[in-house]
Amino acid sequence: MTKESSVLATRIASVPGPGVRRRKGLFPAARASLGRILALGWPIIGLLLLWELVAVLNGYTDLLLPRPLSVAAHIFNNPQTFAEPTLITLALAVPGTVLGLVVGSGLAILVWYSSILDGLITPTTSVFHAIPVVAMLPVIGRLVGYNENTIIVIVMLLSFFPTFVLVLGRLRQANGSSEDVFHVFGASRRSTLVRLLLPQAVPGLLAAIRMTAPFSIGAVILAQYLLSIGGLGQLITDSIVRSDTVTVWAIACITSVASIIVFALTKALEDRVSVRFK
Amino acid sequence: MRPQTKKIVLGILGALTLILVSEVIGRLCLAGKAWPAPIDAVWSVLGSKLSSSLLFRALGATLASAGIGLVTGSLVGMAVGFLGYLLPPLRAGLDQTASILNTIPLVALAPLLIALVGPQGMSVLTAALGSGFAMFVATASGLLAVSAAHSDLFRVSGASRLQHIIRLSLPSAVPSLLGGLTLASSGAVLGAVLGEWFGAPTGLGVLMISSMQNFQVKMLFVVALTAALVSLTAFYAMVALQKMVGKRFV
Repeated sequence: MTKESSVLATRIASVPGPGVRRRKGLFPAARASLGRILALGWPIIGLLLLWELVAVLNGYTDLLLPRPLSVAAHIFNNPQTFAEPTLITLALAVPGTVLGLVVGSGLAILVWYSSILDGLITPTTSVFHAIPVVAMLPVIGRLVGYNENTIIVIVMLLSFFPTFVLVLGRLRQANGSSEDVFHVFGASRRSTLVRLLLPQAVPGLLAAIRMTAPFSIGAVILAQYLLSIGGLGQLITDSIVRSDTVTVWAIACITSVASIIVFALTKALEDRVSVRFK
Repeated sequence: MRPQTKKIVLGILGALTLILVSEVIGRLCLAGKAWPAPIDAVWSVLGSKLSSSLLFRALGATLASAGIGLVTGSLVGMAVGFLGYLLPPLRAGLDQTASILNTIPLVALAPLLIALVGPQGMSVLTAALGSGFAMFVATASGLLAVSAAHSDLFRVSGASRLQHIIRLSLPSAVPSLLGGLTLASSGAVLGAVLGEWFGAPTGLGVLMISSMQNFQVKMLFVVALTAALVSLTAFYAMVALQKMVGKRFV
């Protein structure tokens, strides 16, 4: 996913804004930003319109397919219903992600240090990389218990693999002249690691955060849904039982927006900080 | 010892250590009753006629959903990627939407998807979504990965747009498409298993949930192992295909 995602990210970043061109007529700035919104968001706008159309043309009630506006109104009228579960879900994604980043980077450093550990661990890890981690939720639930610890373990596993691969890749990246300077001045392996390679690995770590953070929210909700342990996931289960379709759709919208915000934030963090370490 | 041989020996040793450690943990009940000894679990599930037929029926259902999902998802992904290539004004919006759709968790999309295809069709649809994104990105970036020199040569020789697409852009996209297929294949297996959690009648995902709820740890373990093996086989089969076919197009 790394290569393709980064290619896509670069392409998205390189799309020039319509503001670059000079426009004539009234309110050029407003027209430019409208053009930009249309260029980037036409499929989303199309989807919303399609959703509204399907609901209206078929005469569906809110029980079957609530309309976009009634879902939005439901969220704004009942913020207390959604605020706490959303916070619980978001907060639960944090410890697992942090653990995954720490364990993944730690193992990458160990593997960089020792060629025997490299031989023992790296092939197994690359095999594990192709295993669907989220699909292992029931096994981990059975092992760890039907509680928050399962969520932490699942999110940890989810962020561990990309971190390990990306950080190790950056640690091993050849950087001829800088490494020569360290060598000539007689730097030890440890100081080469601390002063040259670890800073060099920071962009790898940030890329891992960007790749895993939005997905860990989904994993938390899936675990909460499957094991009925609080948060937005449990709210989905409860609302399905009560046939409260509007709430289910509202959760879907909140989750989507939250994931997109987390993706945008982590992407911004990566863009800002990575430049300093390149 | 040659470095290559050393690498293979250490790799096998690492895998054997992992299996041995999990076997010992299971035999001595170090992690409680929920951790079965892997070899014993596989043996007892495959040994019983009832559980092995249950497993293989579920495997067949999951393979069918993942396969249909992979084919439809890949075709749609490639078609949308191709559309963005043909109509550049749509490209930015398509890229943006694809990455947003990929970010949105499956659980969030579940009500929409169930409303569209019903619980039975969920696993095929989620498998298609899992593979479609990878194929879309692979197509979109692959079609643009044409070398400037070749492109110039085509233009100077007066090639039409259709000739340019068929004889240059499509062949240049093949390595990227094969790379996309490796991701799409394991994505389809994951998608199929997850989709089965939302009310499918049979499949590895259903069997996983029922054995989790009924405390059949050996069955649960073997089903998870089967899902992992299917995902791995799909991944490495595509890697092999990539090596075989990809050489001709580099």
